[in-house]
Amino acid sequence: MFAYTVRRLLQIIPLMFAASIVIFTLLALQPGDPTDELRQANPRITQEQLEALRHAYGLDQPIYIRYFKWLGRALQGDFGQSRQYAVPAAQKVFGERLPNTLILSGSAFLLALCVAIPVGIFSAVRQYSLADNIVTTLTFLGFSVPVFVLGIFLLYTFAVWLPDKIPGFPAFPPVAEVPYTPFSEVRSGTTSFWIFLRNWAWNLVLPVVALSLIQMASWTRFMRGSMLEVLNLDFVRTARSKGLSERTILYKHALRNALIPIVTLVGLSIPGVLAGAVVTESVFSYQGMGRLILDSLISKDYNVAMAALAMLALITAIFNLVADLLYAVVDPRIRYS
Amino acid sequence: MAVQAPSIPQPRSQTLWALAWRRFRKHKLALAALVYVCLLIAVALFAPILAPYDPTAQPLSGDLASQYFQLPSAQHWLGTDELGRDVFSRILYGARIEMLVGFTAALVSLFIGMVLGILAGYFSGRPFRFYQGPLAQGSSWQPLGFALWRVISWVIFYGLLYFIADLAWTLAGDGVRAFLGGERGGHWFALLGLVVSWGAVLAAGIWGLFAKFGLDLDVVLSRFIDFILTIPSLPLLLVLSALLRDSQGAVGQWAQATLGPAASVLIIITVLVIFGWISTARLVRGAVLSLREQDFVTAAQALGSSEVRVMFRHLLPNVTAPLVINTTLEVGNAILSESILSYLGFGIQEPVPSWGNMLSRAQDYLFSAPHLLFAPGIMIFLTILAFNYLGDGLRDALDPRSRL
Repeated sequence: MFAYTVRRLLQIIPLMFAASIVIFTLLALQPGDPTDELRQANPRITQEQLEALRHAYGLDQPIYIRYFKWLGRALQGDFGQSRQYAVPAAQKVFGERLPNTLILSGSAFLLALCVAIPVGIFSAVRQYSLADNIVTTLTFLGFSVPVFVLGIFLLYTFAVWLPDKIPGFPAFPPVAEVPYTPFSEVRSGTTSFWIFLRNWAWNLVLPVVALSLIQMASWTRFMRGSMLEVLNLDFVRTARSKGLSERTILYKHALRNALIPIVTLVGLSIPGVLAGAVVTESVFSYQGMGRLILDSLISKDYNVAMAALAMLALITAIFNLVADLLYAVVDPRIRYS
Repeated sequence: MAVQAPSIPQPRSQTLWALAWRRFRKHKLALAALVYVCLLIAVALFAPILAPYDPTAQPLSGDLASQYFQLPSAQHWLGTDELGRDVFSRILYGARIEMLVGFTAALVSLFIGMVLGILAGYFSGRPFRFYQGPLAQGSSWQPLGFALWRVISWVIFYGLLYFIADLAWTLAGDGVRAFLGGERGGHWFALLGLVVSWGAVLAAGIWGLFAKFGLDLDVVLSRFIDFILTIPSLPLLLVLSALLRDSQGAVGQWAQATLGPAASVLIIITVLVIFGWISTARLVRGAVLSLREQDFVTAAQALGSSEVRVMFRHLLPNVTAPLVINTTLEVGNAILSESILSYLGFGIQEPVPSWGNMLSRAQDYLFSAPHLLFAPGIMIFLTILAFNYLGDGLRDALDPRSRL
């Protein structure tokens, strides 16, 4: 198991190498470079000055040389300067936006799991009952709502419609332009920690609900199917004939086996959650990595885009590995070697 | 063994499709979804006749301020948007774009994924070379010298492929333009052009790498797919479509010059195809890998069927059912991806209406004109839902064993 983990961790290295080449090339091929904006901002800039700037940025070199230079610096933690925000790209991406995205997708992930597994079990145990039919229909509906459509309608309902109809209804922030009271205010003592936490959670509610719904629906469906399959197996019948309580059969015998395919599914849907986070963040103007990727692509801030995209690829690779390892933890029959 | 017993009445034989239709009819929601999709296709085809207004026409006279943001009325069934354009007409024309993008992207992906999947599955572990004609090494027929012939044949082959691809791409552009202009039959040209141009590029790749040098296609394809799946695809879609559609860049300029307003539609289809074929290829490859070990394949080979015949006459019909299901779901996925990209501003560009970019504009007026949200939002939701139900019903009908 240990050897397997180490080998898989080592495999991430060539994978990230290849992924970064692809992303870097695509970004380097993007038309226009930062000197275009300088030319627009200052029409009197001379061609020599532009050339000097392009030389200073290293843009006059071929793509592969730029890539290896970027790689050499990135491995030392230097991802270049953000031209839009005038701070190091690493600080913008890893220090500021990555935690926000992880909080958003992590909360959505947990919410989806906490709802999907109990509801899936419940629905499987009462197969074809009214409640089961309602759950099945709802999961199908939830599965088909695109996250941005849901997000906009949540915004409309909770930020515009309800506060309009019901006086005193606490309006959810329609646009989380400043996502929450910055933590520095807590440190300096101007805001109490609880107010910081409350603002912060309040801003998170709608995005998390929007992001988690699709995963919630598809996991519930799978949990139900997997549970139904296990409940029909012989060992469950054996457990029943031994006279075990229904509770023990469900939670000790059936659930552990039913969870095995769910673990793979959950692991495989992590890229989906991250992709959904990109869309959700744009709907709610949530200051996360997805929003940053979008903004930096529009404003041609390629150092930031490169750092953020590479980070997203790395997270995906790591979580794929975690899913595979969890698989072995849940199912003792699986031995990696 | 069939025993001759003419007196016993034989049960009426039914084809696979008749059986499937009988099962499909029982799934009421899937049937409703089928009706909805057919209606949507009809709306897409006849939008120029059905739409009461030009979807891009803005009011130019009269009291302009009162013509913007109109609430639904008898004249404008769904109101007017921030430029005074009729939302109902834009929804109808949007359906045209969604259907064109969805079906074209799914069918081109199906074509590419099917060919690559079959080749990879069938030739897995057995690198193949097609290049064994009179020009091959060791052949006695080398009138002008082997090297020269080889160069000439390459030039002719790739020149011809380039010519075909270029012609087909132009045809696709014309088709989309005609389609947007409301002429009939444009979508067929678009589809044909895309299939042929992509097919030519694909043929060049397969010929050059695999048939010529004898690489194992399956190894290359599987590694490539594993690699693609580890990269988050949505950001990559964004980067790709930003690259293709930027009017400052070479590709973008070329696309704008040759395609005009149709550029964003063809670009979005291309971007969706780049990722869309993967699921089909995986599906077909997996199925073919297990099918090729079965006796009917050995029998066909023993009877002297050519490789191509075995692949396309014997193996392909056995993967039809999962392919139909997959393609149906893929149409829904393509529409979803298109609307996400358009919503984020990287897809279909104004003034061409798509439900995604309508929703994106409507969000800017969340407070002042919330009625603009409903039509595009509900249409996107219903359409994705319909394709999911349709795929579900088809799975029940065609592949009853795979039911989870």
